[in-house]
Amino acid sequence: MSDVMIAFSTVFTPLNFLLLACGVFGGIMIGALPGLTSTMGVALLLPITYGMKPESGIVMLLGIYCGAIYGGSISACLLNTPGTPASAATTLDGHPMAKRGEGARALTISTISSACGGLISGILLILIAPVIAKFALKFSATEFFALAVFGLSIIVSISNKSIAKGLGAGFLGLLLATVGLDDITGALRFTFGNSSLTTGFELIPAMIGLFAISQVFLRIENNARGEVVEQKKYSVIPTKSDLKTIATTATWSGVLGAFIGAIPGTGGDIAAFVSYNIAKRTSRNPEEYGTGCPRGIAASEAANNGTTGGTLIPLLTLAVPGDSTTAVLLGAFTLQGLQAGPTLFTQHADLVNTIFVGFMVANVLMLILGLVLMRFYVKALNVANWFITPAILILCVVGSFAINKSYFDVIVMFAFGILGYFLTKMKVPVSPIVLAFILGPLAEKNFRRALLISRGKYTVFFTRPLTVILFVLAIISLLLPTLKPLIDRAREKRKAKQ
Amino acid sequence: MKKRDLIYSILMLAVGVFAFIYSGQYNNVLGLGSGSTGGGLFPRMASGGLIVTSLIILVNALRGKSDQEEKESIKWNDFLITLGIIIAYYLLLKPVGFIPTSALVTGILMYKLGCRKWWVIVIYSIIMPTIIFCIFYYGMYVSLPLGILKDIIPKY
Repeated sequence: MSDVMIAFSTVFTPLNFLLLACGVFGGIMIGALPGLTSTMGVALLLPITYGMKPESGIVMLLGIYCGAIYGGSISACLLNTPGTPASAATTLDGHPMAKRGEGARALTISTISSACGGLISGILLILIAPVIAKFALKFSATEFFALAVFGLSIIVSISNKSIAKGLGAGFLGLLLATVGLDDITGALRFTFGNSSLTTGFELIPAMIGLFAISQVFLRIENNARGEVVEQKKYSVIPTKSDLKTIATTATWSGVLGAFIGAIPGTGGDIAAFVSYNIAKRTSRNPEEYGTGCPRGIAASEAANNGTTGGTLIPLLTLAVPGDSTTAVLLGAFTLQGLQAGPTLFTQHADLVNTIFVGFMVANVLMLILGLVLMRFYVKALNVANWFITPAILILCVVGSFAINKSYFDVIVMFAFGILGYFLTKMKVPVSPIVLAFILGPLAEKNFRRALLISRGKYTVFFTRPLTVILFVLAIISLLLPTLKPLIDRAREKRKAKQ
Repeated sequence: MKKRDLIYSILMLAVGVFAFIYSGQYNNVLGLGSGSTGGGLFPRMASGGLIVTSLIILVNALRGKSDQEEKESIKWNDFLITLGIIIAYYLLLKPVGFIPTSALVTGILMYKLGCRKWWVIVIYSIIMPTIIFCIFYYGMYVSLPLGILKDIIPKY
């Protein structure tokens, strides 16, 4: 108990608390800007932590991490542009809710859910980190492939009315994700002699293009005279009804996010889509999803912030980063002369406790800042189109350019923007393309890796229990939209007979 | 509209068929004989899926089934103007620089979107890109192109 009190007193020193608060605020701003990711934010500010004490620097970086993952939901809800890949699933219900005048409500729900997911993952981190780490390390190539397939089965969930169009978009996304250098054979696929395509299409410019640039085209087309949707007022404190609606979803999504985050190589984007799919599949009213359903926002946001604690589990216990941001955080440990892993708990127990407490406080600060600043964010929806559309365009260009300082990424962004515009006009959903972009490479790499390890024997995919479970979940997820109406009809017939 | 579904499905079918045939060359790179681990496997699976789904949409379109409930026409004038703006933005970005190009694009878009107060257009076109430039260039060390202002803007 005294260790916990010491950790609290360390976090709440004026300097450390100020750094943590600035980290959370800065992270929220970074996450809200399309093109800037939590990884970028942490990487940019890592060097300034060199002169700080370990507890100050690492806690500040954690604040940026938590804030950035949440911050992506702001632009996802208000502008239909995910600020980070982790918020791509939030656009599915966040933006429709904002479009009908409930932007403040969407942001409040996302803030509460993000904080809930983060706090739950923090509790799991503190209580059972070694257990979860052991489970996460059981994941081999076959489990990663099965997880990716399960994730891709979500495409059916987010296909709206036409499953064929949604699946087609998913296959198009898978195809576009194969452009570039093949990791295993070294073949250059679909580059047509263009050296810029050697690394393929970057996810962030493609995502910005599909969501944001297509919106620029649509805003110019549809809203030439600056019409705005009137936003309903919503209290900073969420209503009891909304809290009751999202409580269960946010809780289990946070747990799911923590477990997925603990698996190295996954991240908030995968967790958000998986959680969204499960929420929709298990809902009594799945048709509400995609129209501005509170549980849809809660599932996505709780899961993506749930990964923030989850990714720290393998980092702290085994020195294995859970995602790209924690890979940079590992650099922070090295910069401070620390060795992450089991010895950290014995040799620097006080620092570990400070990290735990700092993480929890970061999520509380994120909740407070998010709710307080929410009314300012929502004002973005009330400003004239001529004010916001040019800003979106310019931020998209900067965001795409900033990743690799590459003009080619700007072209990619514009090309995907034009594609996104036409797909929207054809009533083809663009989210499946992004989902396939994220999961396609994971699926392909691990599928081929598994076959290489097993020397071409496909039975390797059916001999590991966890792999089989994930495949079964994927099949259920794919077949449920077709089977559910049949099951409901059979139930009604039975009721009518009785 | 089923006409739009028809066009979309034919285009995607063409993309799928092209990708399927083109990816045949990747299967046996470095002598990894069986297609199960060749570089062409996933492109072929993806393009095969694209072909199948495009055929489904095509058949539905020919049978008169469509999920498009209302007319969503493409305003070609607006589309071409926006396309022209983004092409010009890209072409001018490096030689002219981020701030002047962004200011020009902002001004054009503001006018296109209905702002008619010239002083508002001028002030916002200059201030907004400048603020964004300062945040990213000085705050995050993103080396945005300076262009014609390279001798005026102090480097970070």
